[in-house]
Amino acid sequence: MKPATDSSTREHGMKTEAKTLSRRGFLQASAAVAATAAGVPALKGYVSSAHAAGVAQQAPITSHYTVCDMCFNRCGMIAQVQNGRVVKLDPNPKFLKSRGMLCARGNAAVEHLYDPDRLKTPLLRKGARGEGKWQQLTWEQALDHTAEQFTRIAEKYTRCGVMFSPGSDMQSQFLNRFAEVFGSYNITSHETLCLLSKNRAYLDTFGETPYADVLYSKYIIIAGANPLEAIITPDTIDLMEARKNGCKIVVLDPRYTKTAALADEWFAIRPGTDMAFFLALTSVITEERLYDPDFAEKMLFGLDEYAAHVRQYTPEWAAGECGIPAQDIRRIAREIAAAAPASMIYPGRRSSDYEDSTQIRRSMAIANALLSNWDRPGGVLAAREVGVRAPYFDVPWYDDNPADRIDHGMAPGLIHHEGSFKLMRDAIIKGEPYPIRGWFTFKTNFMQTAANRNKTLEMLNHLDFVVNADIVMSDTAWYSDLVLPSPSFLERNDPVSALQGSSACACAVWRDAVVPAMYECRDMLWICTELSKRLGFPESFDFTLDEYRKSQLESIPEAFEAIKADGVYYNPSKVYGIYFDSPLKTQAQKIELFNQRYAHEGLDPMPVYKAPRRKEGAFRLVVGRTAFFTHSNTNNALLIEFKDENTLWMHPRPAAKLGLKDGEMVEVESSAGKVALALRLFEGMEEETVYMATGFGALSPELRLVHNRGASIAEVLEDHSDFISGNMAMHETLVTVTRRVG
Amino acid sequence: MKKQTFIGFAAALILVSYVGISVASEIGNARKGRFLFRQNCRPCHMENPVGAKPAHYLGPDAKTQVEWKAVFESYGDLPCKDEWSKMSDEDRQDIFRYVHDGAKDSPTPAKCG
Repeated sequence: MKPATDSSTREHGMKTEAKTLSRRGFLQASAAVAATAAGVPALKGYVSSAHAAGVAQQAPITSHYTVCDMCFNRCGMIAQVQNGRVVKLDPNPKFLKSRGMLCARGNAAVEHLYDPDRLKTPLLRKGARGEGKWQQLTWEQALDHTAEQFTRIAEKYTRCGVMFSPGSDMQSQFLNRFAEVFGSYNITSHETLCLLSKNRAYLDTFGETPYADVLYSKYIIIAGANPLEAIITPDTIDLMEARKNGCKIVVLDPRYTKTAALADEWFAIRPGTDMAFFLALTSVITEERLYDPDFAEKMLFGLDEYAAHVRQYTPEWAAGECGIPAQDIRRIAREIAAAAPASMIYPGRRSSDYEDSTQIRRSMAIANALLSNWDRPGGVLAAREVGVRAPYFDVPWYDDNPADRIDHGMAPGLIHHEGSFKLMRDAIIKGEPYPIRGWFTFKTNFMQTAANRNKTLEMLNHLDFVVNADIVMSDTAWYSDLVLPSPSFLERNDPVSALQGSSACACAVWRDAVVPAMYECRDMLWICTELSKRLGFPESFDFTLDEYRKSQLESIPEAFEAIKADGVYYNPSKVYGIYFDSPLKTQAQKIELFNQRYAHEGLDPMPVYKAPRRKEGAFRLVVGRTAFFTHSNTNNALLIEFKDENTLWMHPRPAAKLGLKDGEMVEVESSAGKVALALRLFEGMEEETVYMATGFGALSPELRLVHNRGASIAEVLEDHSDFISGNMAMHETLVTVTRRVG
Repeated sequence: MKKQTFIGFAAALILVSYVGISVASEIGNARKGRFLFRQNCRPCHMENPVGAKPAHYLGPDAKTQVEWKAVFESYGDLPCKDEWSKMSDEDRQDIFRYVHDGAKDSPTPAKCG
């Protein structure tokens, strides 16, 4: 790599001239962006000439199918483009998974595209990590440097000495492929902070991770989920429709969420005690034989053992643990069983809560099994056939590589292609069982999303080289050695993505660029292709995106025309009864109430309740997200208007005991760290619980709307993990809350 | 650092006398097994086979762990028994470990070879 001259060195941060818009100025700039639709010239200087709207005449508006990337749902949208600029985003009315809807985040993607905080060129760190001194590089220099660093690390520490975090983007599959061809097993993802406990629990009960058929359900219990705010399609929309159709919704949550607000009943359950409720619920169902005996005979494994096991967990016992009255538990059990099989315990999504989360979610899965709702309308469904194939590629073998991934064997139910970020981080810090010295991350911001940020910083001290590809200077990018600017989803062509939408659809989509890529941004396929040439495996990326899509759609060639015509292809595959004539993918080939593998491995084969830790004077901190933001993607000028910083939610009674008042600044302290933020008193909180929203208190000054605004959950959450899956456990932190002095 | 991109079957010539192996799910290297499976099995067992003896699609999740054990213990019954016989016991054990660990009733079913 040729060294760049000092003249190209610059500092990023609040001192940089082009980066010092005040909030007022920023909002004016944003207004200018919005005003573009009305023909007002806007934001020249921030965008490339193709995007600058300083044109005299208005061209006609053209419409382009694309797929949203503001969260994981990938809703179909139509971009309206005028004079080379995206002026508006509309929902694709033919997109059934979102029921033709586009949420506020999707609409605000215009601001995501034209965000002045976008990364514009490759940047090499010059000062200490986090100091904010950067040197601009050309792409040639950046790629040469990355290849040199990876080669050096591979030679000294083996190929597994580089860790990859490919993210959840439609182009993440290219970085996954790159990691495998490079020869590293150490791949991990944001999912290890999210849904692995739930997936583990359902895999170990049904042999599948299910989809909730909300629309046709008549009775739904929602616990440990907030789908009317943390949007998941089609469930969020279907919950409203189901409600109109008479579906009863019962919510168990220590916080009065948006979902609770729209439910028929809400119980402020004590955090960490959901399993007590579900064990008692199923004890009523088994004791009173409220299940379908034919379904039980054909489909359930271990029913007798389970019925005997839960006899001890009476509603009266559970009431003392979870705070929900015994008569309500009994009533709800009878009501939901009467509505079966069109009734369900909503499986949820994020289940990174407790060290026992897999077993907690298994208690919910078993309740579903006893409702006989598997593979039936209004119940929990198996994955449908979409027909999109994963293109084949050769993987090499390196004799000097270690036997397995660094976290292998550290959790008995580790999902091998995901791993556990928490366990990998611990192993890297210890240097055992072997060293990892490099890290390639793509649109993954563990510095903001993973519990115990100080430990992530400690891990960085053990890494020689960190390269990060992203759209903005996230906190993780801010602490990286090399930052690569990525285009937004509206500026690139993406491979085909298969989507599941319960009974709504099984569909396939792709993205074509709506507008050209701005600045020096390059997509992940291009980056991997270029790096593969430098690292000696060009044959692994010797294809065009069109060829790749063709390979993906080999078995459904009709999808090409459908996606071009409608922006989406639907596979009319079987929805219900997928398993009616074939055995389940469990050891017993039935739904395992008693898990044989767990018994063999010394784990509890049926969920056993363990009371959550409690400490006098301490609160349990729970976290979540709003409908406005996805994880740490809060630096959006339009969305920030909904919520410009997070607060600590607390019930007024404990606040009064502590002498704390609404709106004052408080310090929240755990064994992991301490943060300060404003207090919000809210009667809809369980009294031993406090709550913070994710995505604030950014360290990166280049995220100007959220830098030092509010507080980061990552700073104060202790790092625990689910004992079985290794998923991070985000609700195990006990905190003290005190008035901020000074 | 030694990189293997192709495992050629030894030109050898000693036909083993047995047609099955005693496999154990606790030993073998699943990572290497994946590599060997892709090199040796997948060409004939992919969706559009390109190998010498085209056969139906197979990936680890095509069978249960018990079914995979049965396959390996009596590979002499398979149409590709000659190719199996040319492999070392270690390689066969590695492939078994890979398909067994990714079987459809395994903790982490593996969809593709």
